[in-house]
Amino acid sequence: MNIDKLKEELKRMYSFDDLQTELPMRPSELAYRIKQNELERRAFELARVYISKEIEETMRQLEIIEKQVEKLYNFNKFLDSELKELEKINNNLRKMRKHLIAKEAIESENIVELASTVEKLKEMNLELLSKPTVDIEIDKINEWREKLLKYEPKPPEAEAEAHRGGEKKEEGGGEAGGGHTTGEHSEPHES
Amino acid sequence: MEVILQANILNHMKAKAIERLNKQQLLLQKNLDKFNHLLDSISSLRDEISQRYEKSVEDKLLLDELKDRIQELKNNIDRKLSKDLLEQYPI
Repeated sequence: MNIDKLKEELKRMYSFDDLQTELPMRPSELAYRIKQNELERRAFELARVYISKEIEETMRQLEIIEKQVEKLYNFNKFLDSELKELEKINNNLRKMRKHLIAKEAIESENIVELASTVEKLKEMNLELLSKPTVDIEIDKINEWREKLLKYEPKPPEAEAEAHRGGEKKEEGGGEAGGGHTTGEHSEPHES
Repeated sequence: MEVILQANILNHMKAKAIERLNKQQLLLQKNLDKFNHLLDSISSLRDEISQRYEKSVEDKLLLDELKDRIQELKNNIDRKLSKDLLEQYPI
């Protein structure tokens, strides 16, 4: 039932102005009015019951809606936290992609550089192989040989001789010739 | 009258609750859109990174191959030069 209509009805029921003005009424009219009032009272009672039921239904719906709101709120909260995690993953993946792109660029440069080196070495190799002998820079070679000669190992005898001479000098006794040099090598004297 | 007032209050509460429900539903839709968008983005990024990683591995193999080749060529040149040096300056 429409609430406004019901309000109007109630207003009309509670106003006794018309009754006061119209009194005294005829019995038939009074009976009619009583009957009418009785009907209105029953209608009102029915309306009250109906509204009570409506209220119960509305409360039930309200409860359901509140539960749904709560569920949605919790789910949204959960989604929010999940979204944050996903955003983190996304950002990390973006960083990784950036890093890989930079690495790719460096590797491409290296490949180009190494490929050109290979080409140069190939040419050099072919050139060298085509010649019977290569003209080696003599000056440089001589320089290297001189350097190498300095570090050339001496024969063992010459080395031992040089070693002995050094020891004599170290003892500094002024002995010339083949005297005993160390106690270890000298034999015991017998008188 | 009390019943009508109660009904009015309840209707008002229901309207407010429905408003809140709509708000949460809108938020949910928004979050779900964002979620799907992020999932798509992550999926495409993962694919791209996977491809780039494969390419990176291939590049690494190519680099190793080139390094080996360079070493081989250098060895060839060294051998040739040593041989020639020995011929010119026998020890």
